[in-house]
Amino acid sequence: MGKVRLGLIGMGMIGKLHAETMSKMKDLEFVAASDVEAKHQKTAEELRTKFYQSYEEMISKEKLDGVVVAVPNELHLPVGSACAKKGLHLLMEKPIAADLESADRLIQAAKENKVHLMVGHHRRHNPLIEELRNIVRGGKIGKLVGVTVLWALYKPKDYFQGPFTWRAAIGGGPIRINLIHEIDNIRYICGDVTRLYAEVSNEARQFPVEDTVSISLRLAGGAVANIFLTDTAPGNIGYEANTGENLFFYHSPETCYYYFGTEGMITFPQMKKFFYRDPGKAGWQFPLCEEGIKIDREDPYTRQIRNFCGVIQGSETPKIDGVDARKTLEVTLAIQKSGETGQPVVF
Amino acid sequence: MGKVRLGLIGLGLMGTPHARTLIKVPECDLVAASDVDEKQKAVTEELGIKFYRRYEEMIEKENLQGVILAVPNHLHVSIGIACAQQGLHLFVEKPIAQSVSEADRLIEAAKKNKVRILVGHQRRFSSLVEKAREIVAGGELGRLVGVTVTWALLKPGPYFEGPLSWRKDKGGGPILINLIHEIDNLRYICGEIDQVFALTSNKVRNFHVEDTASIALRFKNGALGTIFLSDCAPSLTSWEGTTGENPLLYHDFGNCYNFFGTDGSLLFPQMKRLYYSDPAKAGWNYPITEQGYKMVREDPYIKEFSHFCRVVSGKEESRTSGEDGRRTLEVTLAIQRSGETGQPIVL
Repeated sequence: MGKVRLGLIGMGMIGKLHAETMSKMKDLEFVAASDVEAKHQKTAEELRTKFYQSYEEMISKEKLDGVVVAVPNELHLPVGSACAKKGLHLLMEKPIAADLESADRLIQAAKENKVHLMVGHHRRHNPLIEELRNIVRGGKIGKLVGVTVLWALYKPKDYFQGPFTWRAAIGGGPIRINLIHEIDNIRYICGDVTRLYAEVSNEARQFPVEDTVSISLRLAGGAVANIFLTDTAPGNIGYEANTGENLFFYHSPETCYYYFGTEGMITFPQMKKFFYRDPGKAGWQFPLCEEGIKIDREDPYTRQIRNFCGVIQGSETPKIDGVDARKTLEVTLAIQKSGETGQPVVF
Repeated sequence: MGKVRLGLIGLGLMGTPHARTLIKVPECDLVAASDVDEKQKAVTEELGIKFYRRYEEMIEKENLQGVILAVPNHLHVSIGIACAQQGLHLFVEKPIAQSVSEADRLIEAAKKNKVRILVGHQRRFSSLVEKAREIVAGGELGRLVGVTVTWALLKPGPYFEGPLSWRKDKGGGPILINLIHEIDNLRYICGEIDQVFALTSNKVRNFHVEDTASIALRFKNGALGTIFLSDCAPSLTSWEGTTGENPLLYHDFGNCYNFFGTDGSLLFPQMKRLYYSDPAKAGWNYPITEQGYKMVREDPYIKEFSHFCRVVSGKEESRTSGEDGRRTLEVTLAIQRSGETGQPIVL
């Protein structure tokens, strides 16, 4: 098999990022890109790839192995199914679909047409997250006791204005847009969520959509986790601000996750391990040892596309397939539901 | 009016250090102390105060104005009522009582006998807490949207052994012993809590009592809260591990609380306030301004006992009244109950 031939559907904010990433990668062929808006032709030209306004035209004319789909959530199912019918492997942006039923249908379409369905939870491809997973699952901090996740950043006013007023409406808020990443990270690193409860508030912005969420989770294996999320507080703690993964966000060297185990604690993204060296001197009156963990940084978007190519070539399995991504969506939607009903949700 | 004449009841783990502190407080004249254990007489001799085995005899003979109760929790109410009937103002160690109805009995007796109650939540006298309250209640963060609390540390093995094995049983764990302080701090700094939910776990130590909990809170003012609590995780991310206010425990310089408001956030106890100085450049993509506060460290116990003397002499209102101590207990007990039932509790 020669170079993998990829197309892109959707050239919005995240689509453009995929386009730039693919255009820089030598081991694949970025054949064409499509967007309903003609203005994106310019970007396609700059990146030396063909441009189509109609994705249907692109997938019928171009000989592709797979497509990266970065269209609005409600189009994930129709666009994804059309591509699957053409025998194209899918890298679908997150969330897998707008709702669980659509997710099921998309999974089914991929299965029927024997194509791989991979979902763009790109953080799984970040070496920091991979290492954290290895630490936790490898028992390097003993038995997992609990996790705290903090995401408190301030979305600027223009985030909600002009073409983006949908972000002030139900479904356009931080639960579906941002929290889903945190849920996927927890699931990837620790395992499944078995029970959750959420307090949800929209009192600060007074938009229909939520602005602040406080969540308690129980994980398979018995550990518990907390997530606090707000997009309305000037702050500098949150994955985007702390990892420096996306330079659009102002970078602050704070800690957004604490992973607590019986034998140590990891701070993320600092990746420092704190532990007691001498079991005879373990306890709150004794100093903790601190140890850094060396990790080579690498762009997760590039690694994600590389994984997609490997999946198409049959040499790799997807870091996250449709069934796994559906579960992440299910937990995320349950948080919204718990907030509405005031009741815990059990899985 | 001269110094306030006080007596101390109970010379145990709390009472003995209280005695040593009380003699340093200028407004206070610690006249006598009592303990059922004759051995504790040595402390009183060292401090040059009278010793009684029976507190009844002490409060009858010594013409006191107030007493400090540092007896086991189950005796707070009966001894408190006996002292109130003698017209003595009461300093009651936390928790005010073991149940809300017991607390009510004590509050009622104090009211009937026209004596005042100060409940010993000494953290309210920490200069860090005073400052945080001034910042939050003073509106420096704008409208409060949320707060996160992490209390994770490792209690050493001997903490649970020998005569202390009651700490393995229901009621002897981190919710009633430690979390009650966090709840009181939150109520004092952020306002009333009116809804709680908790997921608790005892999976690490396998004692009857919980070792870990994840808690979601809602405040009356609409803010949300999250608390992670664990006494089986090697960590310094706790009040004790960050403030250094307990000289027996090791501490470093992290944060155990974060307060988030619409105009900024406060990291505690580093006392860093984050905000955008230019409203036109406010958002996750802009640099954030960081402001520190100059803090003067003072001994909270000395401040608390000075305050008690002024409460006794009618110069100040009790900072932690019986009703206040009762509410902190009520919220803490509700968290425990929620952990048992798996359901949220509206207070």
